[in-house]
Amino acid sequence: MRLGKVVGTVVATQKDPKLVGWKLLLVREMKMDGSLTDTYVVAIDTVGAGIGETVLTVAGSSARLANRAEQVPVDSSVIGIVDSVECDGKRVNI
Amino acid sequence: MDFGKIIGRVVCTIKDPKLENIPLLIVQGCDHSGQPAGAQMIAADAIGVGAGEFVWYETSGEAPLAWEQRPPVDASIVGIVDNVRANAASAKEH
Amino acid sequence: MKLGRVIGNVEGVIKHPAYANTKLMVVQPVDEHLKPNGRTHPAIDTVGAGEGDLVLLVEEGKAAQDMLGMKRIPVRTLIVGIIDSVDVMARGNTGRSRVA
Repeated sequence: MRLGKVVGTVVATQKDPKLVGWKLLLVREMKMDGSLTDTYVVAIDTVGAGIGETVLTVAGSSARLANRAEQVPVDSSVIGIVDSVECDGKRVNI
Repeated sequence: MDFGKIIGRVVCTIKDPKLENIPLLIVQGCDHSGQPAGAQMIAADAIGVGAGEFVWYETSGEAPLAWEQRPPVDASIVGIVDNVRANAASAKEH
Repeated sequence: MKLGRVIGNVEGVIKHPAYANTKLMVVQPVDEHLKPNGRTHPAIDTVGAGEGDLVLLVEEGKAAQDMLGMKRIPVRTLIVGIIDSVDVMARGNTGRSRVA
């Protein structure tokens, strides 16, 4: 899994019917020191995350194991809102 | 399957229900000698490991299969390395 | 599938039950000219490979489940063959040369 910062939302009107009702989040990947990378992913929101929040994303077929996402055609899901990160013995500023 | 070292942890209060009681640890990918190589990621702990421990983990669609309830995870820690007996030269002699 | 060289083995007491009674080897991935390429990693041996052997690696969950005779296991990395020889065209060459 990866850490990420929710930096936006994506809206699509014409889409696969199974995607109806899902919020699409634009998530910038975050390194373990809290800095943001150049890569982003569009992920469905399964936990009610908001813009600016640090989240946990899962990629690949496992993304469809997220809550209620079994039949949804996605490869990334937000599966957690991160409270704290500890790395190399230090608390990371997220 | 890869070697890795536990370098931190992530705490989420709001998360996928199937992640309840599964520790989320930060893993630095390593080679067999424990030398850091490759990415850092968040992996779910299936066996109960501690900080600094040398482990092996499995990724991708097989990672959820470490648990009965198949949580939405893409990397799972599945073993603690006690001992590695290896001769790196044996890869070059041929 | 990929090629790798077995360079040793791994011992660990605490592990997921799927790894009980398996033989875990250390594999150095190699390129098509058998030069070490990428970091070493563990792999479950199903064919009796030993140190120094050139092996065939598969990374696929269903294959692992078939080979180990278990369903729904967190395993996708297996040694499924010991390689006798590889024939490959030399880089920048049109001829054939046997490398192993």
